[in-house]
Amino acid sequence: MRGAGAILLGALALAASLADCLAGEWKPEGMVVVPAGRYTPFVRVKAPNASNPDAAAPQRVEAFRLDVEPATNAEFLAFVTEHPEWRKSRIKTLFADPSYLRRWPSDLELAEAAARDTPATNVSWFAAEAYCKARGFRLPTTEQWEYALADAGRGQDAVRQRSFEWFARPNDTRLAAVGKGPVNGFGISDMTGLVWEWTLDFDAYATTAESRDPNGKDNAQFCGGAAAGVADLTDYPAFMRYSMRASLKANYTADNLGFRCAGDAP
Amino acid sequence: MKLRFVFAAVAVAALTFGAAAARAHDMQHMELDAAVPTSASLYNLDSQWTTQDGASVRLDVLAEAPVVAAMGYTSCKDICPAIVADMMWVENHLPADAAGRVRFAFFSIDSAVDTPPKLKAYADEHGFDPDRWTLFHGDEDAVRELAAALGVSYRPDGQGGFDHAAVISLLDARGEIVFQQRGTQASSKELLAKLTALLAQRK
Repeated sequence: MRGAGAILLGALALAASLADCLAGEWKPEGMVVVPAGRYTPFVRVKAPNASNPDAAAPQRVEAFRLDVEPATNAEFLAFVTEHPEWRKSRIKTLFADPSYLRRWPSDLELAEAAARDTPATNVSWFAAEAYCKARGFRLPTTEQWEYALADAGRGQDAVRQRSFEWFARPNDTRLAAVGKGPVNGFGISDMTGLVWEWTLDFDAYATTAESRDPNGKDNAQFCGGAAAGVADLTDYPAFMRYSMRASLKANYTADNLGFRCAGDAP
Repeated sequence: MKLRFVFAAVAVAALTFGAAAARAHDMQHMELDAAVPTSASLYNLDSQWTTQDGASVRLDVLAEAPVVAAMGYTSCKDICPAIVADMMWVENHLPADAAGRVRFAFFSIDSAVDTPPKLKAYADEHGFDPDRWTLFHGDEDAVRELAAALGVSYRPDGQGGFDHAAVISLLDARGEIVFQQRGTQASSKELLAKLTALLAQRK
């Protein structure tokens, strides 16, 4: 009887996984639906003026799905196992710099410094995006990420405090496991205090000193000019986040730069 | 205080991890093989594009000749005309025997508006030689990926247009970026010099 039961259970499991395949979508395990709402972005794209008086008003963000935790080394290992072109020995220099997965001893091997349940880091934007696409998702936009970070603004103080504590700590040689930090009002953890994270449009707010032209004309390099201002000049952690993202290039990798995936709301 | 200075200063602090990331690439080129792009080649991107003539192509349609490439959108009144003017300046200043051996590529950021017919009209309006110039329409994913590879930051401006960086890239015949002009200039002399040098190597 027990044998028959096991077969029956196996058949049920197979049927369930077949149903998943037929649905044409990976199960959004480990994700939450972040409800639509309004929030005030840190960086204002346009200054308020007569034709656009609402530039500084809170913006609406549509509902979306977001990973509760950053992608882990174990998850990234499963991805490169299935997609050999993203293994460290095969990666194209177009897609990642030489420190790609540098803490992994070899293509399919993790190590103490890159344990299974710690965030996947030393991963470029191209690789992070490929991982999310393979799951049927994508990276969150900067707007989605920032909205989720501070629980639509309600968790602003907690984010600042946790960020300051993080900045004060020396860089860890070994990262902590995901899911150990506090969970915010959306049910999401580790958005600050563990690793920096890629966003889909990480450089959308980039207006660095490098992009000035020698004549000092603001518009010469960036059509439409630079960001018009910030919502709160005292928000040092927000400056850090936007500056960090603006300084990245899509093939960069770093020891404490990870990612998580996002998708459309069901 | 100008915002960008604050950003620049904070970025230095934020990027305590950045030294390794910013390290110059250790480029190891494979032998030129039209079928297999080199490791740093832009032609590793497998996105699909449509030209102004409606042809469905991949980026490697540009392979085997040096390419002057930029991103923008046709309804842009601000910096895009200047980008295109810079590209045309380069075309007009090439040695007579060289002009036919260079490709000029304009990739639209505006997937929704810049349809192939729109790109065709834009090309005609500017008098682009269709043997040299190709204008590309791609979906949002294709645009985002190419912009990432070329280091062109952009975002919707909330008013139907885009804010985007002015970047003109010079690709060699393998599709590797050999030079980028950031910002528009009255005369793109450095870009022209790099391109002329590339052409001389290929003679």
